[in-house]
Amino acid sequence: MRERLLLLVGLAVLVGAALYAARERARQAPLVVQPSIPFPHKTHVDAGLTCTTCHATADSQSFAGLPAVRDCLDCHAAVGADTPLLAQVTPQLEQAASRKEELPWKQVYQVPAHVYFSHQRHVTLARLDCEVCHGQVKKLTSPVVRQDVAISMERCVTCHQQQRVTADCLACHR
Amino acid sequence: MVSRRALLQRAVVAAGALVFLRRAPTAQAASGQEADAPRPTHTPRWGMVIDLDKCTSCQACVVACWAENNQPLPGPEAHRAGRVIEWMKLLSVHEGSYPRVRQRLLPIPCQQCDQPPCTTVCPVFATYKNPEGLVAQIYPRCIGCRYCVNACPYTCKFFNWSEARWPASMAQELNPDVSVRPKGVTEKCTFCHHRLQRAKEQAASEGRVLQAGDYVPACMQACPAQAIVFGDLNDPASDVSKAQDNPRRFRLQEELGTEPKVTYLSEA
Amino acid sequence: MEVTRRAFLQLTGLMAGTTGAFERFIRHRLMGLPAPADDVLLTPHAPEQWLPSVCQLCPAGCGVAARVVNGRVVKLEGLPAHPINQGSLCPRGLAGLTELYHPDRLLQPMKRIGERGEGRFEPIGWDEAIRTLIDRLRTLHQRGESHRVAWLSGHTAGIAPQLIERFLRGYGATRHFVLSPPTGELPVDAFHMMVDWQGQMLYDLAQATLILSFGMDWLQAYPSPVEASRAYGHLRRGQPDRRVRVVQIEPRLSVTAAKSDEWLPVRPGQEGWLALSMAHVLIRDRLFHERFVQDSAVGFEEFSRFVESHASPEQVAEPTGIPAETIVRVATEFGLRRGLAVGSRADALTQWAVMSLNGLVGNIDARGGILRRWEPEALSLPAAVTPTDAPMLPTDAQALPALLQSQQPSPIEVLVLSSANPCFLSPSPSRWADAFKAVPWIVSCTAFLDETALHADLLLPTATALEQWQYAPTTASDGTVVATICRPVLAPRNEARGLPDLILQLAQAFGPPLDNALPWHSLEQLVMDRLHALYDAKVGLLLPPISVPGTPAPSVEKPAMNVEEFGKELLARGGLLWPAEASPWPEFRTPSRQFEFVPRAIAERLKASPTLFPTEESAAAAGFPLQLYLYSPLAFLNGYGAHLPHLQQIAGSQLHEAWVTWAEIHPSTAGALGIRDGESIWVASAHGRITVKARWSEGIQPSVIAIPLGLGHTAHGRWAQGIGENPACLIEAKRDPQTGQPLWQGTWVKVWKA
Repeated sequence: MRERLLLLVGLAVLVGAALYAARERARQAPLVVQPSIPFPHKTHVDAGLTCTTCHATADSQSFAGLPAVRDCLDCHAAVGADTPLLAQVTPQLEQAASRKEELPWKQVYQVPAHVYFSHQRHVTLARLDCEVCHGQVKKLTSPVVRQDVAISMERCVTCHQQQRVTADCLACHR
Repeated sequence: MVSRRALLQRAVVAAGALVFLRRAPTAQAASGQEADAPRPTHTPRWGMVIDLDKCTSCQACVVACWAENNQPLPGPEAHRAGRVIEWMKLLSVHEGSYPRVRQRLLPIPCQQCDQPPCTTVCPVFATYKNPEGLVAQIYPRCIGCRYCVNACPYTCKFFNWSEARWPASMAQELNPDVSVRPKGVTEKCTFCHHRLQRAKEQAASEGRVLQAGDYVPACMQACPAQAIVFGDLNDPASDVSKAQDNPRRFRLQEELGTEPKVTYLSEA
Repeated sequence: MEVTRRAFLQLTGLMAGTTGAFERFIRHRLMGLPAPADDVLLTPHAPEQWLPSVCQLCPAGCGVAARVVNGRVVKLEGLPAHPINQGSLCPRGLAGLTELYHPDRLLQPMKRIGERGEGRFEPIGWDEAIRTLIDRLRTLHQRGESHRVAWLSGHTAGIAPQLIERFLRGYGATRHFVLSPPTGELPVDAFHMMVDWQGQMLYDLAQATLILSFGMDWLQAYPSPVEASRAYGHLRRGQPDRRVRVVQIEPRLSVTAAKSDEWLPVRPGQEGWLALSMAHVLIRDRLFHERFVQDSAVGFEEFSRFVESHASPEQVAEPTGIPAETIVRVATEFGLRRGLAVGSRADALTQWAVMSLNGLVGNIDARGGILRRWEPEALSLPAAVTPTDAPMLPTDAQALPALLQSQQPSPIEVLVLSSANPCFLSPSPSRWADAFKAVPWIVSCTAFLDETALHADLLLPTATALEQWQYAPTTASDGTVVATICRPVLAPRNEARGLPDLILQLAQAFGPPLDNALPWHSLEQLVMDRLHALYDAKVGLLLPPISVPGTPAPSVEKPAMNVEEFGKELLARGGLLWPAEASPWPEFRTPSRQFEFVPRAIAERLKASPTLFPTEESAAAAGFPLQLYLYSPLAFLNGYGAHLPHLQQIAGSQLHEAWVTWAEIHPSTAGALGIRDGESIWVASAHGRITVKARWSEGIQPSVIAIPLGLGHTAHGRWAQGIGENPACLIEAKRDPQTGQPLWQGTWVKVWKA
């Protein structure tokens, strides 16, 4: 009887520990994705583009938006056409454009479906710098494959409390 | 007598629950103010008036609510089991006998009580009344105990007994402003709170405070007879405050002291 | 159980192995984080759009604003400032989105490979489908047998009916049969006889001073449900210090009766007697509108003589079941207030009796009374160049089954069906399936594989309203004309094509003379044509720009200068409107050019027998003691809607019933038959029987059993098929001698426990 009790307690502790570890991992591990094209943010920022040049609705909509493949091609017809990196991806871009498809961009910074997150609210109204949530993305010479800043509810709430803006559940939950 | 085994099982569950709840922030920290908007002069208190003398029981509100809020599809099995989820529903009551018979037909959304019985029984603070008076349900926090479902005297809380599924083509109808609730949580009318989230942001981006008409729930918008009036009860000049000031007014089960923010105007 | 160290270690190992699964579970289930590729549906990636369109779940023509996110329509709202619905919608319109995305829609042309009615089809391409149809049409045309093509259409909204007529005329066919809905139609036959032989009528509900409805459940089954509800709200509490009374005469406590101030539970089929006895009171007490009766009407003396001798309140109290004093009281109120008597398209005599009340109080061509539908010249299509000007033959759809079987071979060789489902929704529906056997070739243009489409040889998938260009003129109840004109909100799903586009393509493929009658390649071209014509005509007012609460306000309006700007604005806003004209015609269009109290057809009938509305006691004696009362809940308006799950769910809310056919029966009647509330019962007539769920109700005349129409499909998609029973099979295929319309009411039944 004693052994069984010990076993059960042991199991309970193990289950608890495993759940906790898994939860912490899930919470802190940034999302990692396979990039669809080797897009260097830094090159574009250094060339003088602002974030909203390509993420056109970051200041006006809930979502930041992604450039249309047509925009990529139009711009690169004039600029940077001779770089090896562009030469490497141009066929992919042209193929997508000819099929009237968009590039399969992968969303790295996500919130769950039950969260209302608005870029407009944070970019235009709260005037946050993109780096606050997207980290050093401007300095990346390789594509974004992981969250530089791990997006979590804890992070949202901490910031909201520091900034003395609403931390009402309903402000973000839907 | 409680067996040791049962005791241990409970201990495990409790430990698990603790792990999940440890660092969840408390909603009491809510301030209800938007730093990003022009500071409103007062906190609104959202309420609704339903004029039964205008209502034609067409149930446009019921279907509008389904369409707006990604509620699971109704079906014969769910209906027979009494498990159809309808945040807005039509209650029908017969009075009298033939030929002197009356039938009263009342559209019933969540009454958004000022003294909500459902929030006090929630063990995990998944349902609470927010500073603007909305009785909220925070789905990821809900553990599905259904205490609140039982506590609601208006039967306006609905438990997801099964996973909400749509045929692939119909999943395209889903409203991107509203989440799809998972199986095992309770859901309810939110006064289309997602519309408030957007309306506040829109107003702020235009550099103004929220105006009457910026925020309209889907049921009111659909209503052909204009039987539903919605707005800020804290603003004495609002349509809803004026509509409420009517000798025909009554509230459902007022004797329970729930202080609903949905007021009805009787037929005559 | 002995726990060994080994077992313990095994368990621990197992747990470590499942940690990954735990993590996935926690991440995606408990924390709700989507998997990286799972964000498509709920994450917008382009600014949302609100595009105008028109609802076609009933012929009312409400304007809708479709919310489009990521190329999919996620919500329909009423188009603000649209004269029909003013930004609101009825439950049908709101559920209409499901029709677009319905999983069981027909999305590809098909040809039959099994037996007729068996439901075995194989997909074919559009080219083959059109070629097959054109070959058939051409062969008949060359043989000089164009008249052996007929078209049967059901509820078809927008421009399609006009195009069908043109197609048939251009081709040389003369038969276009139109099925009318079982309930909720206006009494157009009486209107044609007494007011205007070629016009269409409107009830100006919102301006009425009292609404007295004879068996018309106008809050549920009405040609324009949103307008009915809007009018009700306005009449009750929309005007300061004025609340208009509403009285409902109906055997069943319908929603309208429940929302009325007074319910008079009349025996079915006796509404006409009640109307005539009220006319008796109006004439006796001189409460009628003397000027109208003297200056604008004929036949008043003949009418008075009849009602004076045959329809006193005392005489009709017994057959109608309404006490004489109630009749006098309601009639007096009606006369004093100059009320509006609302009827439905029942038998010709009932229609006539109700219409005569409106004549007595002079409520014809009058605000708050009966108005005539009009349409500005600029909206109609240019006159067609047609090779045959042969008049269209009388096309009484209910006569079609007999016609099909009248000769060998059948006089109709090719039958085209569009949105018509008589094999489900007509009295004795099985006779249609039998009649179809005689037709060599049937084409069905339909969005769903319904009961009738099962009998077709070729299925052509039609698109829903949102997937098409729209040119849909319609008239609001107050006489305001609106033309909803817009582009498709989205491309048709798969292979579906709009019916108008399909007709135009057929005409083009057929060549002369059809392409002269229909000189447009597509509906888009037709709309653009009309748009230019409307610009040139400089008539009509643009609808205001779409503004939906919580969305950016539309930019400031600036007058459209050139035709391009005009077109752009028109298509973005959704149409043009013409304010109401009180009385577009100076006189009534009847033989006497006056309102006719006793039109010729009725005069003959009165002469034949003064017993206009027999109570048929013989039926009761023959073992059928109860009268069957059929009605359509709004959810199943025109018998259509059971394929949409949300409409199924709301159809029976009055009794908290859904997904089953229920029958309302009075507890005293049920008790005498030993039937308890909720029990399964048989309802049988001389023509068929069904099992339904008995529901006790205090809101029903004790000699009546009421059953809703719209359920009992054997096809039509997953939510309709196999749910409930179809009471249409209890009804004998009887037609009104004056109107030719099927008589849905008046069936005698018996009931017993199943």
